[in-house]
Formats: sequence, structure tokens, C-alpha cells
Amino acid sequence: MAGHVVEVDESTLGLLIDGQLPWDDVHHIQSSYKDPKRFDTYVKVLQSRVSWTDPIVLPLSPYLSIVKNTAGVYAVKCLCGHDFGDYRHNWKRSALMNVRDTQEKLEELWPGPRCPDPEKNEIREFFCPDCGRQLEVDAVPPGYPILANFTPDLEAFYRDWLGRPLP
Amino acid sequence: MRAIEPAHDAPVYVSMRARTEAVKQQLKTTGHYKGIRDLRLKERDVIRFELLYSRLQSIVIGSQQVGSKVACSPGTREVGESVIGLYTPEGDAVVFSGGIMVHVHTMSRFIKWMIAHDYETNPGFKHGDIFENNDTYIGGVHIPDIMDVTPIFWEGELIGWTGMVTHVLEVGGITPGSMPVLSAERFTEGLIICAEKVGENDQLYKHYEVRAERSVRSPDLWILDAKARVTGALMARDEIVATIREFGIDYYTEAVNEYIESARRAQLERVKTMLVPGVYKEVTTCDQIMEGQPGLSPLADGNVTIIEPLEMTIDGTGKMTIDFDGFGSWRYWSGNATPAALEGGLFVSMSQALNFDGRINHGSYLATELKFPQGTVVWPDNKYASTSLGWNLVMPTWANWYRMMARATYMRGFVEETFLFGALTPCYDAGGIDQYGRVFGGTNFELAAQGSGARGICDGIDFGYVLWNPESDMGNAEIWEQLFPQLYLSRKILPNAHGFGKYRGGNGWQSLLLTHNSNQMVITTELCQARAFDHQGIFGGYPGKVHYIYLLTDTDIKERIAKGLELPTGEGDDPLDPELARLVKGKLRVSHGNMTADKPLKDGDIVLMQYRGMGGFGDPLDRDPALIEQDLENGIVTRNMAERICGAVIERLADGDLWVVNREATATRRDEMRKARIKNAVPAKTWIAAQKARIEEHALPDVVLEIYKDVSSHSEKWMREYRASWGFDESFSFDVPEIRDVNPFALRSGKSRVADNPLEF
Repeated sequence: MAGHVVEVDESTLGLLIDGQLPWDDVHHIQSSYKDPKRFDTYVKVLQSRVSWTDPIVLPLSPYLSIVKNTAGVYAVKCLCGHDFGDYRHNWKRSALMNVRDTQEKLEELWPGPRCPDPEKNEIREFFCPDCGRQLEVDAVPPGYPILANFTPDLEAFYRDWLGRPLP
Repeated sequence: MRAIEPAHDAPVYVSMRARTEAVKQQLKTTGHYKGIRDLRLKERDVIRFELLYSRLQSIVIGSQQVGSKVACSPGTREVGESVIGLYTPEGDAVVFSGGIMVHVHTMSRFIKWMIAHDYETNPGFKHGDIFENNDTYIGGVHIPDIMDVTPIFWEGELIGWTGMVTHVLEVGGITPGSMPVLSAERFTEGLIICAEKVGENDQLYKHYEVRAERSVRSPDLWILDAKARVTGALMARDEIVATIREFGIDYYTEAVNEYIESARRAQLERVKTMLVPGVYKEVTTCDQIMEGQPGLSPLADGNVTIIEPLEMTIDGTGKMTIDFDGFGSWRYWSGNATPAALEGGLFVSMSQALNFDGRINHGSYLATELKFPQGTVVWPDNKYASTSLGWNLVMPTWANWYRMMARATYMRGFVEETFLFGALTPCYDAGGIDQYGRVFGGTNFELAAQGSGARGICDGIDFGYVLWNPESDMGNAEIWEQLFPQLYLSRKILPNAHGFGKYRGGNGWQSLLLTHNSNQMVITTELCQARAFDHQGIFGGYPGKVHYIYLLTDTDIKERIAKGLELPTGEGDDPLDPELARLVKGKLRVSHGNMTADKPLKDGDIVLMQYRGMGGFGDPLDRDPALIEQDLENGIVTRNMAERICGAVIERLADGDLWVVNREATATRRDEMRKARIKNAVPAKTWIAAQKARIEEHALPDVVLEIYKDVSSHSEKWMREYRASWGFDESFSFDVPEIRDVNPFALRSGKSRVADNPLEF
């Protein structure tokens, strides 16, 4: 039934994250008011899935989170445990890169007429140096700065929105 | 004039213009729409408050359905290219139907423009008046989106407006159809109605119809769409008046204002509930290759590539500020847009990303701020600059925003709302002499059903999504066969048309169209990117392919049909050896992006039109083998690409027809691919150092040097950030004579600001 808040428990949220929740259940959640406790449940689920113990402060993607590391730094960390350093520095600058900037390299993904013009676009693939996961792909013109997709305001998020101090 | 807000002690004003200005001032001084601090009606009796809202929403939805059936255009009747809105007397949107919701706001701009230009005095506002507009600098995206509004009066007093928009399929431009790609100035876009009174006493003027009959190629489409809009707007008006009789004028007036103020507050709360504060940045590109195409204006910039960097800041209050600083200068091409178009894009985007309960109105707009740099493609300082393909700019821009939303919802844990939406939606216009021997023109609106971007928990929507109309529908092939001298040889899935990822983008499809019973059919394509990416994947997912079409002329298809030989159904599995060209003899042209055919097509010529897929989510090496098997069976992915990009080890069962992904071998293969990435990749720091040296020498392709010179000439912010990103000092510049200045005409304002004054356009 729509029109009310649906609190999603940890096991349901785990299935949802993994794409395993039946569609009817997903639709029910989508059609209902958003659960204000969702973020905390989300962090609990994600924390239970990693082998390291640094507390997750803000998940950034399926692979990366901002954590408070043992040195007390709010750092970007990969699922595998690789620490990219302070979240205020773009983690991509500490990643490994493969840049598809020629017709030949682009045609591996988009053969023949499907290929973009390498003079207008290059594909930048960013990998974790430890586990080799492809963490982000940016399609940008050559010479364009490395995109800093998001810089959070952690203070405002915790203090003003979640109503508690930063962990 | 009565007080606009008697329940809240607002002052009495004389003119609509003064009232509109007062509403703006009240927001500035109190922080609330019309100074409403307490939602009195909502708090007093929420059931009655919601009942009226539901009634108003039912009225606009019902009127849209009835109005659209007056039209003969499949775009309006079948595909749902329309919307109806209800507005306050000042032109602020209150409630709207489904459909092309971008125009909830462009109609608002239109009404405000009339008020600002003192239409209240001349020609005056009277019961039964019909005002029409498709001038994008007054309020609109491109001229085929025509809007008709009518005032609502209660006991002689103007108390609101209703209006309806439809996308008309033929507008009388330089080439047939609704979006002439050749148009470099507005004078070739087609018939433009500039905030004109086109009827009174609930009737369109006779001369309005005469003008349409003599100015567009398929006047029946234009005129019946106009009657559909008038029907919808008048029906909504009358039902609203009947509803006011039931609820009382004072209740109605106060309630609509509260709907807006409550939407403003709800918008801020929604942002705080679902997103994360901070600064979001994205960029896409938009390009057009037109050089050498027939009919191009001598003024036109044939080949244009621009960047669309978007920055959104969400602050602690939940307010979103979206800044377009860094967009390229306006150009003599059809791809300019107006602030009204971008603001409209906000409405249709937010209705899908945040306000999916339909509670979006002027209040939601007030809770956001859009800043436009004047002199750029989003705010040309030449109001004759063509916006015929304004959507060519609007769609990639909002694709950027969707990537931000996808990131934000995923971070917050609302993974079920993570969705990459879409970007450009290619289509074609056609015209000339139709199968009945008549002059015709039109847009095939089967484009209104393409692939969406991926979602956070599953693949994107296949063959059923466009960002500009959430009620996506391609229409029946037979309907389009009635309108155009073309027969469908096939409608078919286009393999690998999506962006790969853990979850792939929704896939694209193709139509193979045989020219039939006409030897004079002009064709152009629109809303296509050429060879630059207009969208992105996310979290390791790739964008979808670039767009192109096939034209095959002077074919032997009729002989093949007569002999009963195999007929093509599309491109086939291998774009390097397209099935169409393999099976049918003829003169082949493969064209990227928007194009105009060299000569009219004739009986037996073939068009292979592609409709797109969008970006993927997550590392493709994480894709579930079961989903790969499903895609192989459905023809959505081919074996070679699934192996190459997703690391799948694929086998064909010996005793049957089924594809099987060998799980164990795939896991091993994927481990090897991850190790290969680590071995072959370079540290970002190393790459950055090499790039910096290259950029310092301006050793970049000319096309991007021209982009950067252009943007840096008017955006101090962009250039400052560019230098900081690569570690350059103030001495580094793109402003050198060796780099071509692509637009010497644009103003160099260097500032980005809110375009909130209708008198500026």
C-alpha cells in the first residue's frame, strides 16, 4: 500500500542492493514515502559486508565509501580495503587509468560506425590499484580536467540533515 | 482588482504586472510564496485540502485525454505529446497532467511574458480569449511545441489560466517536419506565433486557420492540434469554474497558493531525505556535423561541438543551485536553447527523479535556482538565433543532472531510485509528396520509445523510455505508414546499442523503412549526437554507442521482393558488415548525427533508422552471467561483445539452441582481466603529468582547443578551475591567435545569473 513510510530492514535492503528483491516488493518500496532511517540501515548493511573495520561515513558507489580510517582521516576506501586518502582530494587522481584515446582503442568497445571521434572524446577508465575493479568511466574531451564528480559537505549532512555530529 | 491573498493580509494591487512583481517581492522578503507562513487550509482540514487537489489534477488529466483525441496527429493522439496545466493569475504553475511536462514551466513563462508586456491593457484579457505562443524566447523549447492558454474569470475577475501544449509534426520550416536541422536563424524554423491572441469567445479566428493552411505543409496536423489544445484548455477552464462553485472562490484562491508554498517546502524536504549535500560536477559534449550538407545557410557554423559542464550545489537547507557556467557560446546552428527551455527541463527531470508523486509545481521551482551565463547556447544574446533543435542541448544537459541524481540517491541508500534516465533521442523528419500525391511534412514520433540508462538495482528500460515524456510510446507502425510514404520492413532490437555495465543501459532498436509510392520524399534527422558522447555511464559502466543512420538508394529491393529472395531486417549483428548492405544492392550512405539527405528519396529507397540505448551502471565484469544469457537469447547482446567487455566465457549447447555462460571459466577469465587492468594501466599521476605537458603546448585536437578558447573567453570560473586542475598558473591561456575563435559575436559577460525577468527576452 502506497502513501505511508515503508521501513526497509537489513535483510530486505541487502536483497534490494543486490538486485534480488522481487519486483513487486521493489515497486511497493518505490511507491511509498521514503524511509528516514534508510541511510543508517544502508550503512549497517554495507559495513557488514566489508572485511575492514573503519566505520563507513558515506557510501560513494557500489565500490567506494568515505570512512574514518585508523589515522582519523575521512578517507575514500575501496571494498578491497585500498585507501585512496582524504576525501577532499579527488580519489581518481590516486587511481590507475586506462585511457581510450585512439580509434583503435575505442573500437574495442564500439566497432565501425559506432565509434566516437577520438578528437572529441576519450574514455577514461579508473581502476582500483589493488583489486582492479573499474570504479568509474568518464567520457570527456581530450584535455578536459579529471572530473571531481562529487565533493560532499559532510558537516552539513550529519549536523543539519541527520541531526548528529560526524562520526 | 481583488486582493491576491486576502487571508494573509497581502496588499491590493491594480495591475497584473504589479501583482506579479509583488509576488516576487513577497518571496524575497518573507522566504515564502505569497508570504504564506502557515498552511492554514492544509492544517485545518487536510482531507478537504487534498480533495480539491485531486479534483484539479483529475480535471487537467481528463481534459488532456479528451483534447488530444480532437487531433489527427499521431504525435498527439497516439504518442501523448501534450500536457495541460493550471496556473495562478500571475502565471505560476499549480497542477498539471502527465505528458510533456517540460511545458508546465514554458507556459508559465508565456503567461508571465504577456503580463510583463502589459497585454492586460492591449489586447486585454477577457473570458473566452485564446492566446498562443511557440516563440522560444518568450517561453518554449522549440517552435513545434505550441501552447494555447485561456484566462479563467470568476465574477469578472481574472483568477487563473489553463493551457495546453502539443508538439505539432509539421511547422513550415526550411525542410519539412517539425525540427528543421538546417535552421541557423529563427527565420527558417517555421511559422512562429509570438504570444498572439488567436481567438475569442472560445473560438479560433478564421484568419488563424487561413494562415496555417497557407504556411505549413500539412495544415490538417497544425489546425486540428490547435483545436485539440483549445478544447483541452477550455474544458479544463470550465471544470475548474464548476469546482470553484463547489469549494468557494476564497477557498480555491487560498488553496492554490498553499499548493505552491507546500510544494516549495516539500521540495527542500525531499532533497534532504533522498540526497546528499555538496558539490556535484559533470560534463557532456554535444556535436553536429553539417558542413557541406545541402541548404545550409552561409551564416551557419557547419560543424559545431560544445561542452556542457554542469555544477550543482546542494546546501544545508536542501536548496539545489544549478549553474550552467562553462557552456559554449551561442552559434549559428539549430542547437541553441533558452533559459525557459532549461527551466522546463528541470520540471520534467524532477518529476521523474524526485517528485514522482506528481506534486511538482511552481513551488518546486522556487526551491531551486538555475544560473545561466548570458551569451551562451543556453541564453543567446541574439534572439534570432535558432532553437529549432533546442532539445539537442537540453537533453544532454539534463543527462548530466541525472548522473548527479543517480550518484546522490545511491549514496543515500535509495538504490531503487538510482536511474540514469536518458539523453538525446534521435528521430527523422520527412516531407515532399506523399503516397496520396499530396504535399506533406512530419516527424515520425516513434522516437518516443528508446532505451533508458541503467538503474541501481537492474538494467535500464528497453525500447520504452525518453526523458522528455515519461509516458513513452512508439505508436503503431501502421499509423506511421498512413502518414508517411514508407512501409516498415521491420522494427527490431539493435544488438549492443546499450552502454555496458553490471547493469546495462536500456537497449535501442531499429526501424527499416522502404520508401513506397513516392518519388519525392526529403528526409532529415534530428536530436542525434554525431560522434561525441552526450551521456555517461556511472560507477564503471560505459556510455552507449554514438548514433548514425543508413540511407540506401537506387536499390534492387523490388527485384528481391519479386523473386522472393531474403530481405534485410536491419543492421544485423555486425556493424562492420551490415546486413542491409550485404543483402540489398544500392548506393549506401552512413551518416552520423543530424543530417539532410542530398536528394529526395524515391520509391524503393531505404532508410535504416536507429533508436538509442543509454549508459550502464557498475563494472561490466560484475555482470550476472544469467543476465548475459538472457541478453544473448533476446538478441540484445552479441557473443563477441559479451566476451570482450563482460569477460564472459560463452558456450552453445550442443543439443540445442541455448547460450550458456560457463560460470567457473568466466570467474577465472574475469580475474585475469582485472589483473591485466592493473598490469597495463598507468597511475593517474603519471598520466596527468604527461597531459599537462601536452596541454601546455596546446597539442590537443583543434576541435577541443576551439571549445576551450571559446569557454575561457566568457567563463572566468571555468578557466580558473581548469588551470587549478592541471596545476597551471595565471599565465596559461587558450587565448592565442593560433586557435580559431568560433564565435566572435557573443557577449563576454563572464558571469552566470538567474534569468528571472521576462522583459529580457
